[in-house]
Amino acid sequence: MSALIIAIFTIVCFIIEAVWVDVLGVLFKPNLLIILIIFFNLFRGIRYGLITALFAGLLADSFSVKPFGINIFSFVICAYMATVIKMYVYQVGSVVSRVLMVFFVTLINILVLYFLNVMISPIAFSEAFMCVLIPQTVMTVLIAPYAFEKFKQCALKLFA
Amino acid sequence: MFERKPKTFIYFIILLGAFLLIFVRNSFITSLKFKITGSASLPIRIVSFPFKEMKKILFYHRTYDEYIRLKRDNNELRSRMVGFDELLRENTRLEKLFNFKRQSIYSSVASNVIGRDPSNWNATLIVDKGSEDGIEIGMPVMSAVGIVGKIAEVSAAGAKVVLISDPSFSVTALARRSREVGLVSGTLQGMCRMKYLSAQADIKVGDEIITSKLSSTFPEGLLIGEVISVYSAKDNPSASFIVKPTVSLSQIEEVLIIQKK
Repeated sequence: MSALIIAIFTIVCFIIEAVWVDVLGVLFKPNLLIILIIFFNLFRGIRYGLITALFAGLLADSFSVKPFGINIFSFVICAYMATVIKMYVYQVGSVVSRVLMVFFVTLINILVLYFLNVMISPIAFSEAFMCVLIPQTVMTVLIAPYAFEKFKQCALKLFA
Repeated sequence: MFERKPKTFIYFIILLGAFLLIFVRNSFITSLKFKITGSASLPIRIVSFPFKEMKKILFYHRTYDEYIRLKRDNNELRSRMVGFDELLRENTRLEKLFNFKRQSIYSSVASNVIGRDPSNWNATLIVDKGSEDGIEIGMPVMSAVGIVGKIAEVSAAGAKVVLISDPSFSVTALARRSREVGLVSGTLQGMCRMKYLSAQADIKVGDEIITSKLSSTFPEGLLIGEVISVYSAKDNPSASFIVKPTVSLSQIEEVLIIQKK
């Protein structure tokens, strides 16, 4: 039952991201899947964060033409790193600490994906920095507090 | 997390499994991917529809400007078409006369775009024609105005198109005016870059870039885009050129998949 609820959350976040890209373009798209992984990691522990990472990676890899597993691997690393960063940064009830976690985990996700993508096709780091790292990190951090609130409201009802 | 526990070992196995999955090549994975994309594409299109309609209403003036431009281009093309029928007949007659065989014949399959990859790292479309319709990996994909990309993955009822703005895409191209040859590949900015040209290459802003006959994938002479900027560092023997694709890749809804016979 928990896995089904996590799957629904993941699918909804993925659909929101896809609609965002369809309507507004890809440049300033927030990474809702990363926020969701961190949310479940904080809300229910590493196991739930890991399941979310696997579902999120499966969806992302299905739409991609890159080798299957790149996004799964990246999100799994993010789920683990969220647990590590939580020990040093997170304070219960602190919005700033949650936003900081989102910032660091998003950075890790982008760097892992950059190194994996560079193995397939050459991408200049300056290009990735300007076109992916900066816009995605900024938007994800800005959206994070609102997203956490909404996830919490829905999760409290569904996991009750 | 770093204490010796069975859980740590299990987490390590999961991480290792995810890493090794990258190197697995199996037709089951391809069919699984298309099942997931097929299921997810419909709700995405349903949710996107009202936002897209709203965008069309809000930016109606752009649509009107585009309509005026297309109407003018259409009239110009119609006037050029006069006499082309006669030229085509004469060409066919001369081919028969000199026993000249065409190197290849192309047919095309029209296909609708049913989804796109929302990732920042890829530029991919999902179309609703697959191997059942004769689609194969590597087939070029075009629109009415220029090249769009090529088929990267195929299932029975669908296919994925890697766009010309994807960093993993590349095609041999040349400038229509000066015939300088280079390689066009995608960038993360949604544009293309033409590279492997010398700093003295005769390419200017505004030059049209077309596919070269050296390309094994694309027929020659197809429009890729227009040069919008030049990058040439001092003391660097090579230059690269940013090419804006002719096709509006973010708004494309129908494509033509070229089948070589």
